[in-house]
Amino acid sequence: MATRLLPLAVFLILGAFLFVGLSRDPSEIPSPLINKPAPVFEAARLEADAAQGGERFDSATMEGQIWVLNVWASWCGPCIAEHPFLVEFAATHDAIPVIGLNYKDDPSDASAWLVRHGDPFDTVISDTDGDVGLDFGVYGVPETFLIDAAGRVRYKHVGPLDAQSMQEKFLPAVRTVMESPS
Amino acid sequence: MSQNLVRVAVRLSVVLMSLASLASLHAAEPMVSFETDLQRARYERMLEEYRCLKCQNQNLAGSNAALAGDLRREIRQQILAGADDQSIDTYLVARYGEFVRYRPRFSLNTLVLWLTPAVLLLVGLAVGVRMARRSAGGTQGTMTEQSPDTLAAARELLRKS
Repeated sequence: MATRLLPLAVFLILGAFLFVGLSRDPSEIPSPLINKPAPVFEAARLEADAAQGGERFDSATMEGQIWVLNVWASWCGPCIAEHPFLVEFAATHDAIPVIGLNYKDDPSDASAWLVRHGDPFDTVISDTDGDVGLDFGVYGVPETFLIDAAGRVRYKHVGPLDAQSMQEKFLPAVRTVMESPS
Repeated sequence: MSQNLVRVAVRLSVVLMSLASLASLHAAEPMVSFETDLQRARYERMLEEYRCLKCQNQNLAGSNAALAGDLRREIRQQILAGADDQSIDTYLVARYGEFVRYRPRFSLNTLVLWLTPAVLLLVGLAVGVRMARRSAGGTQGTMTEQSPDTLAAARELLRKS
């Protein structure tokens, strides 16, 4: 009797694995940075901003506050779809600075893009060579990192934020971090 | 006439094939310079070992994606700066996770991945051995179980035909 049921058992186990596999998104790779210190970097700003410390941005100055790093580019189509949600987020979360990382882009294209689509960013870092992106393990633009007051990456979203991912993933993650900011 | 045509066709295909192999040799940056041949060999081996995360089923050597180009550049710079394989590996895995390696480390997370083929092979062997035993035993059994009367009847039948 037991041997008769064996093929059925094998089938069920295999079926369970395949079912779980199908419901996963293979392009979503878990970031090794989660709950680890975010890379500390220093890079040029897209536009010099005297009020925020001149031409260069130093991520160490963000310590002590929760902030969001959004990786985007003017050549990135999905970034346009994501943009209204970022604008909305920035408008409703004054306490959380949103920093843009302009990834492998032409600075003048990037500035024009922001004029055209609106600028939700507290400051924009110009990462023309993609060096900062490399440190953050960026592989698909747009990507959004949530960094806590202790400088740790608490959440990472790969791909454009939309209404659903905002409601179900990103905003809950923000709430969790605000409850335990470090 | 037709022989000439065949010859032309053969030559054309040879040219096309060599062009295609040239193109696939290096997806990008054909001019990569190194100080020593050993550095170049290490570079080329590492490009085979790591995955381009943008185009997940290609390694760094075969991918045209911008990200693969960046990672190639980074690996080259680190080799030139004197980093050993271990530290470059640590650098890549710290940023992109275990998935960046085409040959994942043997760990608790990858246990199933590593052991499944061996387990399946053993199960297959066990099933094969059992089936072979059963069929061998089965034929002997049917022969010895025949009663003398039946055997005599069978012989009679064979003799008649």
